[in-house]
Amino acid sequence: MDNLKPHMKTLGFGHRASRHMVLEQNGKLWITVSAEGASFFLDSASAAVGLLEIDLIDGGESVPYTYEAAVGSIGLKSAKGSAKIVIDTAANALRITGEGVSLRLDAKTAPGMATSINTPRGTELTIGSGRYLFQSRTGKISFDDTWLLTQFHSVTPVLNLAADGGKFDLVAYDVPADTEPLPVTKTPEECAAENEADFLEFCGTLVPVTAEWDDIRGAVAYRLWLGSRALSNGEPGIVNNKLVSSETDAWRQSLTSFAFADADKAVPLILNLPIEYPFVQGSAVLRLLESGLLKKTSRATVYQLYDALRAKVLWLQENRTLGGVFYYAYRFETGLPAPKIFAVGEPVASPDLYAYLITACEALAQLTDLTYNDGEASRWRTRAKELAHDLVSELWVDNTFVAKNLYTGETTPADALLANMTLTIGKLLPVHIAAPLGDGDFAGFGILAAFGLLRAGSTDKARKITEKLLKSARENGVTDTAYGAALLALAHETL
Amino acid sequence: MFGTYEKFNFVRATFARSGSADYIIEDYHRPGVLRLGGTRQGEMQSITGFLFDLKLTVNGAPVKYTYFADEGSILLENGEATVEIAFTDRGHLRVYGENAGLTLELRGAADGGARACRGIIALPDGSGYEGEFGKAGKRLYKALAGAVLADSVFDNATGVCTSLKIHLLPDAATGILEAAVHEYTGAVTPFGEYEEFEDLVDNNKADFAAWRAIYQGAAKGYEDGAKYAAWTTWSHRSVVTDKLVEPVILFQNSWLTTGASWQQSYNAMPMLDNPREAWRQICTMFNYQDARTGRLPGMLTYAGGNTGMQPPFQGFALDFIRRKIGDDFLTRDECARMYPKFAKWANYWTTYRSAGLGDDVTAILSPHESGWDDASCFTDGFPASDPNNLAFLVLLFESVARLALGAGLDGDAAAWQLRAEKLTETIIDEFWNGELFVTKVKGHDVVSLTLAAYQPIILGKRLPQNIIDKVAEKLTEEGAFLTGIGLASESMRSPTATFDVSFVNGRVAAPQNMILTVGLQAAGKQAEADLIARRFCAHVQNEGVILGYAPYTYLPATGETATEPVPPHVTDGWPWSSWCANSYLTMSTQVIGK
Repeated sequence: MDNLKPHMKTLGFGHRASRHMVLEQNGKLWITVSAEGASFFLDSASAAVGLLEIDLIDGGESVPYTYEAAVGSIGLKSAKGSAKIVIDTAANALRITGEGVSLRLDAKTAPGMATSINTPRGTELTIGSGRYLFQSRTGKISFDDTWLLTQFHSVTPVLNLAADGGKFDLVAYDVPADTEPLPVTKTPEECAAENEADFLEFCGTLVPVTAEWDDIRGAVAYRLWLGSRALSNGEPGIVNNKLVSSETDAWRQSLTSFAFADADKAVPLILNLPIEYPFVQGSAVLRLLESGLLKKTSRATVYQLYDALRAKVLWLQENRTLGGVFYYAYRFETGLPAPKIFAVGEPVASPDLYAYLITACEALAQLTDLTYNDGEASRWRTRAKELAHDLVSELWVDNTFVAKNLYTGETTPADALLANMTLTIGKLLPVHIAAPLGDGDFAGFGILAAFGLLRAGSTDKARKITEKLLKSARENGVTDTAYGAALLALAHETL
Repeated sequence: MFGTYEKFNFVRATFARSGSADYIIEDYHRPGVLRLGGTRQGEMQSITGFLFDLKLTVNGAPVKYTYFADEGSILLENGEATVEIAFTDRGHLRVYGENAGLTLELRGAADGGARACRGIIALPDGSGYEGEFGKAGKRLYKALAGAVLADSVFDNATGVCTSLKIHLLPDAATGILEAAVHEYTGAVTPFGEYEEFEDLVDNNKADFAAWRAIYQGAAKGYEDGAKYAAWTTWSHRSVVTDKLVEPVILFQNSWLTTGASWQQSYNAMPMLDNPREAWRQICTMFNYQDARTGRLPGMLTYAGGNTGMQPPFQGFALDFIRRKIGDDFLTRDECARMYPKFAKWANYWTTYRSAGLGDDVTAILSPHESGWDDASCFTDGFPASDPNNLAFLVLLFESVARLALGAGLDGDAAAWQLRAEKLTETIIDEFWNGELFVTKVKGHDVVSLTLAAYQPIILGKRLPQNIIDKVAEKLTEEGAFLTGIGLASESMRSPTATFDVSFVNGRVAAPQNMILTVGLQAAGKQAEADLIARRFCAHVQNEGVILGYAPYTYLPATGETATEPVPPHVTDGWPWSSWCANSYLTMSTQVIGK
């Protein structure tokens, strides 16, 4: 990713191992930190917002600047001087160095609850979800930390760093409370090179694609690399956009797992969050099984996946069946905000739910194969077939998949995306049913249907769909991390 | 106790029960309409989407009603049509009606809509309806006699619920309605069996009576207020969850549903007829202590702890309890268990808030660390060496010493006691200017007229008599801090005093009145303590268990009309809170002479 500029307003600049970020906002660069969860006084995660605007100063006045951004660093250029921004992961700091100009970081308005204090160890600023300690290695900091008693916060934070001998060097630590900052031992150039190397190493863990689609791979890789963060349960995850996302969904994590060429990287993404809806984890595990990646992992991992899938299947069996037919109780369980299938009311049997169960049973069978428990594997395979039979007998009506209210018997055509999910069961879906579905909706988790085409042996169809999706990504950009990850895997498998 | 025609109603208080996450309020904007909400999602009643109007129905049509509530239940009434609701501490509430039904209509606070509902389904086993409400969890509506019907409307284009009504209907033949509403996240919380409704009401009353028994009797003339205060602490006691591993007493039920760190120790202070419970209250925050630094979180919610911090109040609370009833509850095992934790907490302050003077003097970094968010002694900002923080530390050091002694660590005990004595000397020598205790910022004294300047009186007879006398004199000078309803948090002669959105910059606030009267009492100034406590408690008994009051309708220093925030609002002066309740209980049972 030699040119991050197209992404600077939406994704920003950062590092997978850091909360520090830089984004472009209102024509200027701003420093910020990745979104945190709901605070005591806020009801939702903080929005993508810069905390402190970066200004280059000459003679007390702001000077216009342009910038170039790459994975390793951002370079600012003005008529009077220049600056460079890097992330120093060893020191957990954002570093801004410059010459010919001075630096100003300006919050512009006084956000509620911002507190700032000048202390002997530096200027400490708590602003939004950011917690900074600013130290100057070169140059003199001036900062007004006046406390506004009746407003319960400090004055608008404005940090000025006056160049010394024409140069400045600012370290902005992301330091938790009651923690000493780590020493700075690397030059900005070393930091930039290290971060570029880290990104490249990360790219190496992803599935390869043909060179023609390297640009898509790079865009997805950057989103995946940048989106890495600890989730609120303490487990590592990859969020859609670290500027605005502090959490993710289990299904997104499962899609994200597709991008990784190593089961040890993919499996934690499948297991780090409780399995919720939509229940796509079966497809994610089948991908690992069918690519042989799980043969290179530990038996403990196999059992972890087995236990997780089995628990969900049994939960659905216990809590979401009526007369042996599986159903959804709530709209959000489909993964869609306004699924049409709920026009008939709940409880509603839907073809996609069967697809998830069937792929889960098939995955359970193959996992059991790895533990040489033939009897158990056979039972799961049989179950998959039974469910495939029920799917068709209950919900294939007049050459279309329907959803059915299990109290009234009323049916309605299933949403295209939900019907398409039946393709994920591969050869268990009769050919005459699969054939018309292949032109359907592959948005969001619907992309998993394309993997099902491969599973069914419809490689040509799968390839055409993949090319179409890749072209769309090239035209419109990769706008969703989980989707992009799955698309990468699809490209890897079909092209 | 509460009701349409009672002295107090649920416009500012909430109907709730110990160990229940439900609450009922009366709508400020629609008088006479009761609303059912929940504490778990931690949303204020002014913005939450999870609020149900309670509609008493006769033959299916809503009718106006009056209500009456005590600790057992709340009764909605229109002539012969009655519905009674009782909460349990087992994850559900019960409804009993005669000749009436009850409709719960979801009407969110912000937009009046029903979008909080993500779905409602008639359960296949016919047991009732389950509703899914996102952050507010799930509800199971179950008929025990009569029927339950759910009317929901969803906009199919957006998937958003636009209307939700749950109808609890009486049996057509008997006219009796009985229902249960369970609240949970995954599966229904195990609850045993459904007892007879009247038994449940009796059990609630017995539970409250047992709770009241942990407090000693109030001084004559303050018994009524003590009952309301005890009811408030009881009804604000949280559910135990994976994040709240022991019950905490929430600050408010329908506004800020948090367990504030230092408030747990406030709650402990009057629990003198059950010192074990008092000690548990003091210790509960140590369940969440940072293992590395010793820091305690500032607040707890059902979502977990936050990163703020509040003052080291535990020593003050323990010192008070020990003075009143001794400390037999500090067994050797308890001392051994808690000594290292208390020591670590004390050392947190002197390590991470050290003023860098080579001793135990601290410098706090925000007013929240003093407990006095807008006290005028912080006008000059931070870091600030605050004598109140130091006074709390003295008492904390002494508590650590006591625990060390109880654990058989005599050497440690002596060392901690020495630190306490030295810090006391420092407070006297360096922070007393002859008239008041000063806060220092960057080496200079902050000029202010804050009540907080007298709070180190909590050191009692550790202070020289001249200081004690001066503090007592200042606190009982009419028209300065002393008002007709207690001590104002900023002198009424201060031009910056306000009763608008503020906490301790003018209002008469419960905790400060409690702290200072306890301090005066400990210093031997019983008459002064009594005078102040009586004024404050009398006002609470008349006006309600509310955290901070405006003592005047004008600002005495300037003569201007005083402004106050427009109700209803979360800030001091409006809602009932357990922080006022615990302060009232301490003053009415322990400070006011009997």
